Order: sequence, then structure tokens, then C-alpha cells
Amino acid sequence: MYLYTDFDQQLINERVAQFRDQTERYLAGKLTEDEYRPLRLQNGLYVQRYAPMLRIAVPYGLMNSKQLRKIAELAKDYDRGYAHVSTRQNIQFNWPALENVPDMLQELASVQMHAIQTSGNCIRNTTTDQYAGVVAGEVADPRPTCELIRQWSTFHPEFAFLPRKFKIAVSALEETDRAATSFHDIGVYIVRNEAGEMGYKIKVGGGLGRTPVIGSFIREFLPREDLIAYLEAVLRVYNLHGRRDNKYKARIKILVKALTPAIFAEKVEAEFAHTVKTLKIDADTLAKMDENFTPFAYQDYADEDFTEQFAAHPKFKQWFNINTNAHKVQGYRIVTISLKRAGIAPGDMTVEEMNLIADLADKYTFGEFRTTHEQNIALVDVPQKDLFELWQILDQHNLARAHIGFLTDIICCPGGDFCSLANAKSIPISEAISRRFDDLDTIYNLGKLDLNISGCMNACGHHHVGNIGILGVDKKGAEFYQITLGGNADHDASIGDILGPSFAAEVVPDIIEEILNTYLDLRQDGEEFIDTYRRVGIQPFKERAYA
Amino acid sequence: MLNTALQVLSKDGTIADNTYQLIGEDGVLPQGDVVLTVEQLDQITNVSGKKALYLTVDASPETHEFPLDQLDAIFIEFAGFNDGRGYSFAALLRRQGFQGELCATGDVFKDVLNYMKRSGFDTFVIKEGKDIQEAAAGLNDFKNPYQASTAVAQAHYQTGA
Repeated sequence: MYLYTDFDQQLINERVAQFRDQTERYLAGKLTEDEYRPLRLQNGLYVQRYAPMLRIAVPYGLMNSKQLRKIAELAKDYDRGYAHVSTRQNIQFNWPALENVPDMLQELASVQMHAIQTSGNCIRNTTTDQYAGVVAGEVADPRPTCELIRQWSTFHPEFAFLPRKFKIAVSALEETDRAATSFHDIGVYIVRNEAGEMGYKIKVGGGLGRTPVIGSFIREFLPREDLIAYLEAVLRVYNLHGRRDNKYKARIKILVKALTPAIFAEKVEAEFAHTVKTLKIDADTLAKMDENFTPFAYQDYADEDFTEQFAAHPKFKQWFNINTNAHKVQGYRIVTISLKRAGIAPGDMTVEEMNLIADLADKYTFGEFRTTHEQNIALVDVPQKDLFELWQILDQHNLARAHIGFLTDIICCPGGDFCSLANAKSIPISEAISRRFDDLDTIYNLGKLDLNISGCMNACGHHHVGNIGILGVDKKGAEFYQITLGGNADHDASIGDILGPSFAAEVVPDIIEEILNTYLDLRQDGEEFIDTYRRVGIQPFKERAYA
Repeated sequence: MLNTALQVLSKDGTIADNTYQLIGEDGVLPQGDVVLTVEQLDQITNVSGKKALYLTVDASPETHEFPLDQLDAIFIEFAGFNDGRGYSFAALLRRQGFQGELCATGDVFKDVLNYMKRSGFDTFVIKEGKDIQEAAAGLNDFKNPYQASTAVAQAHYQTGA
């Protein structure tokens, strides 16, 4: 992974000092609430329902064991013994005290972590596929590109006060997209031109929130050295022209729609003609950036034959088939640790679990792991010979539920239990559905299926792109839930259709069951939920849900 | 509009009194240094001292042509510090060849000065109620940025330890 130079470390240390000063001035009455709010948000600090929430950046979801032990230590010393993985692959604390945050940031800086630009109207953490660099079929490893974008966007002086937040994702796989790239303000797709040179295809104007939009391609091929010049041009056009009169119409998606993607592209090209003269990245820098992500010294292992263990331990077989993924190196496997357990909010890890995962990363991999967009943890470099042992340990600790990618691997925002923006709670809905569908054979029979829950229109739980989406709404002071069907975050992206009037919390599991039964009755050979939905449309689901 | 009573902080940390005056309600052009609105630009040749322009977000350099070679200074107003258009205005004005003084005014205080300095601003009218000496320290919140910007020609992208 990318490790800090003295230069990087100095910037992070300066940020800690700056934020300490800002917080002290706020507490001393020298900064008003209105002045301090955007400043603290740019450092990931929200004031929530019961306490501040602090969001720590995990650049493109890549972490090491030392960092996770530090998160665990902070959770123990400053929070209530757990931390939460967000859909932007970041980590959140729900109960820090405002006056302790500067000390927490100082601790984080000692392991090369920070909370820079994890909120606010600025460029947020760049995300990518959680299997970046270890999965077969990538056009190129997306991590060097992500790291360059991280550096370019960190404290960019011109783009700290944009009309609204700004999110960039990088995709390097043609066959699948695990980062919901189509729903980002900018989607950067790594491609090769006819000459075989690596470059980028650029999509803009995607987003979720109140007005979900699938982004539009505006550049077919951008040479690798010109990415920063092009991003600079997009951001300048947005900074100058994005709406600032209405925060619900301030995202770049609204500007792109209003201008049309073609006109927006023209404006960007005109600006790019200037920026490209001064902002090209030299080949030497790019080559050295790649070196940070050269593959580990993998051993020459053969692929394992698990026939005997599969026969003796059917649970291990299920886990292997469902929670592990092919690695590009023979003899290795990518393991996803499920953070979706009954009784625990999706994406939460306790101090003990964090320390355990850090130990496992050290023992069975090269000490690095990934946070995932689906709010799980991926140990990406596990030798196959160690899989059975690793599974036994995970299973003992309730971290091996074999359901990754299935119904109960639910994406869920913190919702009304924690968030002051939420209209409704989301965690109890996730919990009720998980309990209703606790039988693994039932969920396997339902096939691959994304169920996403958001507690409000801001869509942190990405309900629009769940095959089944659940949105908390306020109906005359009561919590109700609107259901959408047919959303999909992959390359063939789609936004879910609203089923109809919203439902009371207590009937949501019944309605979900009815929707799933409808699918089971209608599905043809081998169809996943999304395929059946796309074939038959919403009507049959509507008829049965409201019967 | 510019509060002429406020002192002006320079990017090198020095503090000076403002020398610019406004055209009053009587419409009479003062002697000495004057700051003109876009609507008052036709009076520029009559200004006896230094000539400045006062820009709000309604007069983007992208869509307006200003007599840049006649201007000594351009004041860019930040009506609220959350509105970052002024940063891009600075970039556009420098690109159009403006070499005079770029001055940030309005909702300007310690915590935005480093960004403003790197975006090409030379001077800063710190808003009323803030200690200008204390604010000056904000100019150097960060010593070396990663990215190139209007006032920082060379990027310093790091390639890892």
C-alpha cells in the first residue's frame, strides 16, 4: 500500500494542529457556529442525534493491521467499544466527545490516518473495487490512480467550497463494477486505446440522494498523464456553474442534466485546453506511483483440493463458495468477512473483532485488508492452504456467515438510531429482515440479491441501487418505508422503481417476503432477481404486495 | 461592499491600512485610490490614484471582459465563505493575464487564508470582529501542498516512502 513520506506526514500533522486550533477557537467563542460547521465537516465531524459522529478516511478502502488496531484503541478509549464501516469504505465513530476529537486525530496521524474531506462540500474519499490489484481481469490496478486523485484532491485550494459534495470512483474491470461507479459525480474508467496505452474513459453526473441519476460518458479516451488536468477542468466548470441557490439542486448531476452532457463536455474541453498545458503528470511520477502497489511476494502455491474438507464440513464448503473469491495468483483466495450479524448493526465491528481481524491479517496475509462498499472486510491475500483454519477461527467468532452477495448481506445506513437527518430508523428494519430470513438455504434459493436500506432521501444506504431498496419516510410524524425494485449498481446500472405507497415498519418483512415469493413464482431457469424483474416489470410485484 | 475602515493583510503577513475609497452616494469620484463596481468602470480613466475593481459572484470573469491592464487591484467578494466561486474567479483572472493585486474581501478569516493564498490572492480584508494578527497565522497552516494551483506552479505529488 501507499506509505507516507515525510511530506505526507507533515501535511497530516499540520491538519491536526489546524483542527485543534479551530476547535479551541470554537469552544472559546472565537469561531461562530456557522463558521465552525463547514470547517468541522471538512474534517468528518458531524453533530448527530446524541453525540458527534467522526468519519475517518480509508483511502480507496485500503488499510493495514496497525491502523485497525489504532481504530480499536480509539473505539475503546474515546467511543463505546465499536466502529462502523460506511458505504464509502470509511470508518465511523458514533460517540466521540467534541473536545476529544483533536486528540483522536493526533493518534490517527501516528498510523497515517486522518478525517480530511470525509464530509463537507468538497472532494471526498475516492473509492474503487475492494479487490483492486488482486482480482484477475483488471485493465490495470486502479490503486495508483486512486492515490494520485487522493493527493490532488487533498486540500485543493480552489475546490474546498464547492456547491455540494463531490465523489469520484475508479473502475478497472470491464465485466463488473463493485464500486457503483455510474453513481458518482465523476466515474473514472481505466481503459486502453488501440495502441494499447493505458488511459481513462470519463463519466460525469451520476449520483444518488434525492434525484438519482446514472452518469453520462463525456470523454472516450484521456491519456494517463492528463487525468489531473481533466479533473481540474471538470471541477472548475462545476465550481463556477453548479447551482448554489438550492442545496437539493447543487450536485453536478443537476448541472450536467441542465446543460446536457454534450454541452457540459464542451465546457470541460475548453477548460482542459488550458489546464493540460500546466498540469500533465510526468511519466517518472506515474511509474514510481505504480511501484507502491507492486504485487506482494506471493509464494508458489498450488490450488488446494478441498474435496475431503468439503465432505466433512458442509458449512466450510458453503463459506468457501460464497464468501471467498478467486485471486489472480494461483494458490491464493480473497476472503470476505461478513459484518452482517443478527443483533449487530450492519458494518459494525467491536474492539475485540477489530483486534482479531488485525491479527488474522498479519497471520494469514501480508498485513493489509480492505473495507468494502457493502460494509464488510476483505482479507485479500489468503493462501488456500490456510483457508480451513481461517474459516474455523472466523466461524468461532460469528464472522463467517456465508451470505456475501445474498439477501441478508444488507447495506444499511445508521438511520434514525444515530443520524439527525434520518426520517426513520433503518437498523431495526435490517434486523427484522435478517431474522425473518435467517435460514441460509432460503437465501441461497433466492440467489444473488442486493437489499439496501436508507433512513432518508440522502440515500447513504444506496436504496436506489438495491435490487430491493427500502427508504425510510416520515408520514405525519410516523416512520414508514417506501420500497423500490430493480435498482442495480453494476455496469448495467439502473435506478429502482417505486412499488407504491409506503408501509408501516412492522409489515416490511411480510412485504419483502411477498416480493420474494413473487420472484420465486415467476423466475425462469437460472434468473437472478434483477433478471426476472427486468423481464416482468413491477406490475406482478405490485399486485401481490398490495393484495 | 468593501468596508474601507478594515485593515488589509498581505500574503507575506504584513498588515497595512486600506487606501482605497468608494464612490459615495453623491456619485462624486474621490481623489486618490478608488475601487469601482462593474457599473462604475466607465469612470476608470478619471481615477487619480490606483484603480481597483470590485467583483461579486454576479460578474464572472468568464462572461465579462474587464480592462485588466488598467487595473491595479481587483477585490473579489466572498459573500459567504462557503461560496467558493471566488477561488475560480482568481484562477480565470490570472489566466487572462491580470498581474495586479488580487484582494479577497467579505467573509474572510483565518481558516480560508491558506487556500486563498494558493489560489492567487495577494491581500485579504479580514472580516470585522476577527483579530487580524491571529488570522495572519492561517496563511501558513500548510507549508507544502501536493497539487499545483494558481500561485503554486510546481506540484509535489509524492510517490511513497
